[in-house]
Amino acid sequence: MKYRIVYMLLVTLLLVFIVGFFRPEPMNSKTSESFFWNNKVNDTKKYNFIISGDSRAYRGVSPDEVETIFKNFEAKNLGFSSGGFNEEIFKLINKYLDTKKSDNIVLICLTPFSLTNSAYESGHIKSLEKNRGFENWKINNLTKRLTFFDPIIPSEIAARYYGYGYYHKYYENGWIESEKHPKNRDIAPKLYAKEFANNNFSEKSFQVLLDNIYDLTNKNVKVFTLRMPVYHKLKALEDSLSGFNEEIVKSRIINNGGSWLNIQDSLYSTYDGSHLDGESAKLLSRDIAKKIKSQLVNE
Amino acid sequence: MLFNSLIFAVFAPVFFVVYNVVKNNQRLKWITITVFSFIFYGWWDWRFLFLILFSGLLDYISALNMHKSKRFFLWLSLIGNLGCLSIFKYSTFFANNIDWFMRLIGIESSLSFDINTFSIVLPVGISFYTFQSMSYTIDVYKGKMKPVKNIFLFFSYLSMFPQLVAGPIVRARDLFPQLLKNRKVTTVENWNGLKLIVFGFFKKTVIADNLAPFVNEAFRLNNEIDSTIYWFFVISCFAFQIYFDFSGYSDIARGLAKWMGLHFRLNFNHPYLSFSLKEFWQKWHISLSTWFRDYVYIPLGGSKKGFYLGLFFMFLTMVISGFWHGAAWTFIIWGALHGVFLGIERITKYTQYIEKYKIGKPILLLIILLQVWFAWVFFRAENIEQAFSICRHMLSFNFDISFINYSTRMANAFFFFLLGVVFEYCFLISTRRFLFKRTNLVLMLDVLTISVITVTCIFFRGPQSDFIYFQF
Repeated sequence: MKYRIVYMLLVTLLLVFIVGFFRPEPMNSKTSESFFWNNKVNDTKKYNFIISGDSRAYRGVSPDEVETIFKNFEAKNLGFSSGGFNEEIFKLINKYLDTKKSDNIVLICLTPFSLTNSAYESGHIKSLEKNRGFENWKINNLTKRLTFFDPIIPSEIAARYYGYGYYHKYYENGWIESEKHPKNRDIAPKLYAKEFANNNFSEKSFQVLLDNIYDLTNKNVKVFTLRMPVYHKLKALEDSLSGFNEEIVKSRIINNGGSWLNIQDSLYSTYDGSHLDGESAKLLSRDIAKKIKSQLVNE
Repeated sequence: MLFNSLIFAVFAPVFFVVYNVVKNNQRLKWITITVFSFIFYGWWDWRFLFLILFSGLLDYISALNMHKSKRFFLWLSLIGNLGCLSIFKYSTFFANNIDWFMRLIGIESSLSFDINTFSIVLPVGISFYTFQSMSYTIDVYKGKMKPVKNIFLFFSYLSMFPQLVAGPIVRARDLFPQLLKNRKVTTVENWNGLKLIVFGFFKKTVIADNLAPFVNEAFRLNNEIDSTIYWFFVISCFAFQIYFDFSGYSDIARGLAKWMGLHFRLNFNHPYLSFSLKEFWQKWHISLSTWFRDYVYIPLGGSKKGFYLGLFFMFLTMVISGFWHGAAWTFIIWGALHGVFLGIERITKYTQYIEKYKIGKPILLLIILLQVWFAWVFFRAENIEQAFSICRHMLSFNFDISFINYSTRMANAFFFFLLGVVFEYCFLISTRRFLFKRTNLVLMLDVLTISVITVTCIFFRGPQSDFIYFQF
């Protein structure tokens, strides 16, 4: 057995292909996730429909669906975890806006949490911007191609069998199609009740948002805002605890040049009270696009 | 650079190609090892290369000049190395404790805020290479070996990349003779090296890294669950995580060394299968425990200065060992607990009595594991309050099992914990029952086993990537 190492390499190669082809699809592909987040800050393309917000935005608005209504538009979702509206996010929005085109649209997806101090301080973008040089090259060129080698998680196999699971499908345009089984809409209200005990609406954060809406509209960018739909219990809790007053927010945004979209929460379903499931996200995306289109036509 | 990183997958083949080309020329071989080791270390933060250079040059020069004034150069080396450790590893700890004490006696103090940020960063592997470097000068001082003249030979020993950042701590008198020889690596050695590397990766990436998320979450949530069963399970998972993480690293280091024609001694010998705490320490992190025995316990007087002084020296050695692991009171208590348990074992000799009974061995195994488990609580806890609160939960006899719901992390932890148990059990039965002849069929089975384990490492790897012992 002089050539044991060679035999071992051949057998390993064969087994890798067998396992790789017959493995169960991951509920949450780590390699796709890594590329997905890196691509949010290090993408080189330009867009003329940008969606911004927190996790409700990146799970709730699909650029592909928007593009079915806005045929000649390139859309990108720039939602970030616990994302607020600070200078970093607007720097990024301006970086991606296709200034060569005359019709640029920015969609601001508001949640009461996105206007708090904690969301304003959110370091998610900064942490992603650290991926420069080799790390950025590795994620964009290697990691992206390694989905075949995504880890198999034994508990996921069991979870599928028992009907449990939290599924994520990552899209290069910044949307995550999410499903969770079983659905439990009471999860988010509990979490947000704790969150808003110490973290409330921040005037400073809101002012930054208003200033940037004003600047964008002055550059002929159409800015549309909406409050993301959630489970009615969570909406009531957010209204009572967060300090977010929808009517005041809406009127000040309109005064600064933005437009407000009214959304009917009951049309869409969440899996945890806060985030929309894949089908509802698609429906919401089309509804938003239609509403924007009709407003633009009326103008 | 981490063993489990993409960059190492490029680095290692390049190194072995160059190494095999130059290995017949001694000087070039040492230069190659040194240069590649510096690249390996500098990949993390090149600025800290100066620290290894400083520590190494100090010991190299001290040893060479030892004949002029033995004591002066020994102290110079000790002060230099321990000084580096104090600045980079312990300065924050000392400053915090001085601040606390000053405030206690009513004096305002803010030493901890005045520490330079550069010295707050803990250089990876500093505890390992300073100890390795010190042992060289101490051995020269004691006349156990002669100082080496070639600086590249010295640095190829000190900075050798397979063991530079997390051990095993290799003694100069073990490694220099090997570096001075030109050994041909046999096919069997290459195969055994590969097996060690594959097993090492399996331990680290499959078992330890899959246990880590559950353990981290449990310690982050701290007191949300107070069930005794839950905390015993958490600590069991942590015990397996740290064991498989660290022994996995040691196996990879030993495998790489084998490919270089070198031999590093065994660092972990299935320590959880011990029937006394003394035996546990003879099997756990062997290179460190023997280092402390040879360079702390015995120089203090060992057991030669009487029974009770021997006990005290042992306790002191364990406390120092705890402090070596980390600059926090939790680590000191971890060391002290082991010192106390070892003392009780030595005074009462209870293991010898229990062993006589038919069911003595399983009982002893349980007693030893309980002692080690309780000590691990302090090792892992973020602070003393958390450690005591976990110990309280573990001793509260609250057998509530309502924490068992469907949580991915818990289900995974349970699966990989069982895999760890099976892995250790396989070792136990392999040493007792199966003594195969080296037929072709057995060798093919060996090939298939290593292939399956490699594929397992690829597809069942966990999310954690850093080795736990890097922080020490």
